[in-house]
Amino acid sequence: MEAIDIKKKDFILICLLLVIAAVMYGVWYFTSEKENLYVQVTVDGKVYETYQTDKDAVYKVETDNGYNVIEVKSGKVSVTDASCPDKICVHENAISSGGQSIICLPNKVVVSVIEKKEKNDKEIDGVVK
Amino acid sequence: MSKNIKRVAYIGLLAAFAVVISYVESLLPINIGIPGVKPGLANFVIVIALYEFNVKDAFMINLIRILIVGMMFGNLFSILFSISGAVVSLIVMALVKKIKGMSLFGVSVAGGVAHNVGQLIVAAFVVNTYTIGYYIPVLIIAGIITGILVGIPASIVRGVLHKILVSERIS
Repeated sequence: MEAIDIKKKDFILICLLLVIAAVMYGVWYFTSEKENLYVQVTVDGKVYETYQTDKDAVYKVETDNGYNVIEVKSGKVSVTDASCPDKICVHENAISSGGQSIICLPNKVVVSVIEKKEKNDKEIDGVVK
Repeated sequence: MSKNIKRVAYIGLLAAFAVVISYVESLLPINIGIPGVKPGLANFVIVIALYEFNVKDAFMINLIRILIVGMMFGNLFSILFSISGAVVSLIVMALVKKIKGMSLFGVSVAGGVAHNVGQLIVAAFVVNTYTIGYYIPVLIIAGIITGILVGIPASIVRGVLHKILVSERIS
């Protein structure tokens, strides 16, 4: 039996997967905005708090699961401290563009950078019909 | 009878090997960006088992590995992640293996990608959010790389093991 037996279909499969990855990345890249962003913190799928990205500050998110310290510095968002045992969220790189997120699984905390819609539902005070 | 005992011995050997690979993997400082998501190098053993034994045996080997590694070095999250990655990748690998003209190499790549994407889906459920979808392209690339890294040695080792198993009339 041959040592390494790479066939044509294997290459086709790899190329197909690369194309899928490239298309998905392209769609994400071109649809994500670089401006008009805000930081959204969700705990267990529910919105906990939103912060501005253009204001440097440190926020502490405290829930029943534990705490996460979120730092916003010149548009970049990172988690600087957390109560979770693995500290993976702390080691993650800072995020700055729309759609990116840092996840802390043990605390069920998701910190995401989100695009501000022109007319955000939350910003509408009332609707007159 | 003795054929069955030898078979069990080989499956046990592969399971032990998978545990060691998983342990070594846990020492590597690789962080794809999503908590609990691991490259899945133990797929090396699973691919071989899939070819030399069958889907059921490959699944059992993986389950033994996940439970042992999870109890020794991990936690509930890592067990959950591992099982989801293992199940998704095994189903995909078994299907890809059925495609004519596809070698162990393609099966390994498909398994690596499915392993990562499966774990991401579980992560999305755990944190109840879908914004992490942008990780998918990164995970596909990572899966292709691990698939290739796993596929090359797996292809060689399988060739050697196949001869041994045939000479012992197990396979």
